[in-house]
Amino acid sequence: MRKGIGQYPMFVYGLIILVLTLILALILFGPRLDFSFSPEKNEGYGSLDINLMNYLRTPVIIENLKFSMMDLIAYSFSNNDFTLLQERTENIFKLAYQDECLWDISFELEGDKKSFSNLNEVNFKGERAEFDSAIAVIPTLDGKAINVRLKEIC
Amino acid sequence: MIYLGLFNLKTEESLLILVVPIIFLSLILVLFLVIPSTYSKLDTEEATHAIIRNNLLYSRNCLAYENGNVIPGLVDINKFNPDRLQKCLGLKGDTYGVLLDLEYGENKKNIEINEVMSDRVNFCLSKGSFECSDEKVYVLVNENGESISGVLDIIIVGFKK
Repeated sequence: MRKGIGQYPMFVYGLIILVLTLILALILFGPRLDFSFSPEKNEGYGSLDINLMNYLRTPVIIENLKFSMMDLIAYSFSNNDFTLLQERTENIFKLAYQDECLWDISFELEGDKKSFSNLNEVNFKGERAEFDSAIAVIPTLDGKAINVRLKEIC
Repeated sequence: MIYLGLFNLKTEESLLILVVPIIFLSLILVLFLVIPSTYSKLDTEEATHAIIRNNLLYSRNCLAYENGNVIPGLVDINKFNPDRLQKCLGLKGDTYGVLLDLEYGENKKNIEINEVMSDRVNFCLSKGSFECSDEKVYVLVNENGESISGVLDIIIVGFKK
């Protein structure tokens, strides 16, 4: 046997193992290296927060007196009458979303929950299934806290 | 004659038939599959568009009304002019273009920031090299001390990176 002949099969095996290792590295690390930011999904300042903030401070005039939606929410809970709140809320979100998005707003005071939405009105054809949401806490007339949560799919 | 027991080929033949193609295959695999896959693609377009939108609505130098305090989301109608907003956002040349359509009460106003890019808004519909976003925001517009409900449509035009 010539000197070094036995080394050839080992050389071939080495190459095969190298190729297999590269394929394994490709499978393990290849598809995971795409990163993207989705800032709407993150906590922080987004357009939805602005929508909620502006909804709460939208001026409302009742019997020539100027209030904000925030006052109307507190007033509705103290009187347990949500008719005017529902009407004004629907007007605001009709303007804001113009039937292009699904929206749902809920108000919660010590387990008592009230919510309005256009979920039954709009034939929505969006691809995303998840609601984005924004939360605010507002005080009642007697110092309790009402949790307001706005959700949307556009 | 010298044979390799495993492959039943001559040493020279085994080199030609096995080793050379394996070396080429390895090179192709490394060049076209492994190396490109190690480039991490960092997609910041969505974040950049969100930053531009937030600057418009939150910054005192852009649209936010101020009465001692800055009120984000409350649009000062006196600040709604292209020169001011171009300066505020610092957009020029082939960076980003912004189209703003503001509807409040009975009024309708629209402006374009960085026309070099905003003029290309029609290309957003094609699957080309443009990355665009269109978001409507419910705003309050401060005009003569009155807050009026309105909708601000923010369209941002940029190149795909």
